[in-house]
Amino acid sequence: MLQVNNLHYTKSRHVILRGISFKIPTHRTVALLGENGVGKTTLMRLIAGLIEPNPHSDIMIDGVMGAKIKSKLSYVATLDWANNYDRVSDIVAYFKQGYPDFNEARMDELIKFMRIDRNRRIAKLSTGTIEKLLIALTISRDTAVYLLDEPFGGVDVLARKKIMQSLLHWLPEDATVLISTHYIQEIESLVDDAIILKDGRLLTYQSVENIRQTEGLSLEQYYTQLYIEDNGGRE
Amino acid sequence: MEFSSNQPIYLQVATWLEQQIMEGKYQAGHKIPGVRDLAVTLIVSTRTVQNAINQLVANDLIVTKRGQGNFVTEDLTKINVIKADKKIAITQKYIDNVMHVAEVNEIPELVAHAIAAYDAQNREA
Repeated sequence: MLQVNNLHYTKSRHVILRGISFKIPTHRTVALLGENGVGKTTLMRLIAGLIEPNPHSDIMIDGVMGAKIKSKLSYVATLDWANNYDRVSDIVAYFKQGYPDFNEARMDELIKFMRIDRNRRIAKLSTGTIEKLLIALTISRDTAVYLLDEPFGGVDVLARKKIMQSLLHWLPEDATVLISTHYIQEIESLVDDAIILKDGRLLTYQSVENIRQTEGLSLEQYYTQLYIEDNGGRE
Repeated sequence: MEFSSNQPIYLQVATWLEQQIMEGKYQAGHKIPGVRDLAVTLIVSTRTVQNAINQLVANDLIVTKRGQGNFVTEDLTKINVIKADKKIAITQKYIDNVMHVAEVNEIPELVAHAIAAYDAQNREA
């Protein structure tokens, strides 16, 4: 279970997150939605422990808090840390060395499924292939929580399909997954719930099927409606 | 799979599964693909697929055998009854729609015309 309590984050006097709380149970996949600059990436980085929240903010995974949380989650946002001359196989080797929970057999299957060339240098990979590699690395670890920050950015429709299929096929059964994205319509059938952020606040945390059943709206329609309502009726 | 916006996704998946059974793609008494495989094929969460299957289990169209997976019912009458219901439902829907634009006595001719067009098209193909 991933639990976030009263999460505040301020950066150079600019308030980014103002008191976010939610609880995601095990074996649920949740979409993290909100307009650009709303704090989705900040929230991911806070959960991953890459940046520090304001005091009195709690983040917990299965009862674990603080620095130990890092071993409970998988988050690979960039390959900026790699050397330009590194090949895909080098990156895989780093992961194998760095993470005891790295599942090499799963990584092999993912590389095959995504048709990633192991011998290619990182610097020569297309945006789409880098995105696929990031996903493969993220879900090749056996952890409680997986964080995916816009896994479909700059990726064509076929690659998006492949990425979604790999998530469905290879993520462990009991995983807790948080996926931020702007592709609301495409992600809808893949996720159980949606968290919608606006102006650093949590507008709602709802089950997608519940939205359909009670509101008769798709996730995208509901998202748009909530945003308009929160703006006092203005688009 | 494309989903309409106004119905829960699990019901749309249940309808799709039912369709596969009606068309004989999943045959009576045979095993259907596993939940995860269906999820990957349809790009739908495993929970949604499971909910859809539960729906068909409740309707006795699918039987879950412990440790073996999900099977289409062996009961052909059951499948035929659902098929018949479906035919009636689809025809009813057509009639509801066509009544907005046509008179009752025009309908037989319209249907005959549509069937002829359908036959012609299939002969070409």
